[in-house]
Amino acid sequence: MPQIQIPSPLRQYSGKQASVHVPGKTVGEALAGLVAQHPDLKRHLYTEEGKLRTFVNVYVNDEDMRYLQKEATVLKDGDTISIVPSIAGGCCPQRARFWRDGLENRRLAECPAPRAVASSQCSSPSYGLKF
Amino acid sequence: MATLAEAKPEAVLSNDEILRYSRHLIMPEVRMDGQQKLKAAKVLCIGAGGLGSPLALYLGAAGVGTLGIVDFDVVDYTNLQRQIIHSTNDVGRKKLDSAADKLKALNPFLNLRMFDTKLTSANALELFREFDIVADGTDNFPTRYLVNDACVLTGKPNVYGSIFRFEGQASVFATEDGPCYRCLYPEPPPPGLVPSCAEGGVLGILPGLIGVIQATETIKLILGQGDSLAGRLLLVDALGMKFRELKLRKNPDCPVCGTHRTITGLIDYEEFCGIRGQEEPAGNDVPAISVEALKNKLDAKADVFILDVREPHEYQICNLNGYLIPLGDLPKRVNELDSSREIVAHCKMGGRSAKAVAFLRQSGFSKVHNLTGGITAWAEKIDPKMPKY
Repeated sequence: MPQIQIPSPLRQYSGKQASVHVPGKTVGEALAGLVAQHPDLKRHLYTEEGKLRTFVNVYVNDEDMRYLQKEATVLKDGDTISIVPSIAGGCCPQRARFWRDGLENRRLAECPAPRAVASSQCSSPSYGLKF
Repeated sequence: MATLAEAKPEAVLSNDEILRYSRHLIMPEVRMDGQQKLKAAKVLCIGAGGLGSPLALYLGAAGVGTLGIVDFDVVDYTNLQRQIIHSTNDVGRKKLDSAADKLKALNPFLNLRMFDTKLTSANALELFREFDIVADGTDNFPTRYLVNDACVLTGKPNVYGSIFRFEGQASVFATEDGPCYRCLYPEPPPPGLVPSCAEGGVLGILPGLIGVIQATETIKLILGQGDSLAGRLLLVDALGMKFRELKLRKNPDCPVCGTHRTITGLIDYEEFCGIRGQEEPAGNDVPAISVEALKNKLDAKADVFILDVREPHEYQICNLNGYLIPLGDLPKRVNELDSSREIVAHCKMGGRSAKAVAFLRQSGFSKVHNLTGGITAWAEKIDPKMPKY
């Protein structure tokens, strides 16, 4: 069963686990198994259209999936899949704070506009307020 | 990579320098000609923070002749846990002044070039052209993409390091045949999908570990020795103390270094990263109460329910004896609150609690206010004995 390594920024969505074993003959199947086990990971890995997000890189062992057969890449016993998101820290708290505030705004703004409520606020609080 | 000068006359070492660098000079991988290459080299460090501190100190100690630093920040007390080029006495000073003092004291032979400015699309190309190598110690996506693109456009290697909590990444981008940062990550994550350091914190030694790897790669590039990290991404997990590496390839479709380039000049990187126009702190528009007004109410024994929306580990540092529901849990725990009571919500600075107030108002709570400035304002104005963090 392939093992998927979860990077620390995403572990809050994987029940704090650093690696997860999931069934799957291909990378696509394994990732689908991962988000089935941990549904909160889904929107971090996939767009609403169900495509893998461009800033999430997926490696099979030490090779970038984009240079293999992408999600159709066939897995062998003992293969390790790594999810490698971009991180930007250097790290300076003032500007990081500004960045965080920015992203909170954005998160709220991304939510669908609810009935009879200002469009900048969120109708789906369990989504909108989650960190 | 950029041409790194052969021993020019000015790179000849004095007797004092020969003694200072003797442990380099007796190594076959450095020798006199290597030390002269170091002296002739010009390295620009972007940022004098967590990564920039060990980078600048080790490059300076090693005898990199010209060391440039770009930074516009001021030393903050919370920097000292990891930004080891700055001391307690430097709190409130410009990071550049503090760094210059340490570097001059460490190595008087350095030619220091300090740029007290924010790196922008307007100044990056001109600045980079004056140096051989750029070491990226920045803290945000717009500057990461700016540094990368400016390195590709000026043909300077980009020695990259990045950290989060107890994990780090390092590589060398934009060498002549190697991949660039955009080959690895064509686009930044939209704001919100990857937590920042301020949210997640960072282990103080981690920038040391990654910054020293960047310094090592910089020195190897100058000496022309060893196997550079170009084409490899080093992943460091300090908690497991595991080092792994992944293969990086030059992406033929890369917009800045690929075969059909669409980016031929610097762009607006804040817009590119989706943060344009979001400088305003959130929550200025929710009903608020000052710390003084809250103090008066509490002294008058008014019925006020204090709701703390921070995380449990923050509550441990200091609290107002409030009822703790972290912001992320508020939607599912809202039934624990009584909408008939007057509620004052607070967090550390007022940003998260503003969101809590907006959410609660939307959920039918009409008597809820946001504590302006959060528990930090309380510590500053009401209770000076309370710790700030």
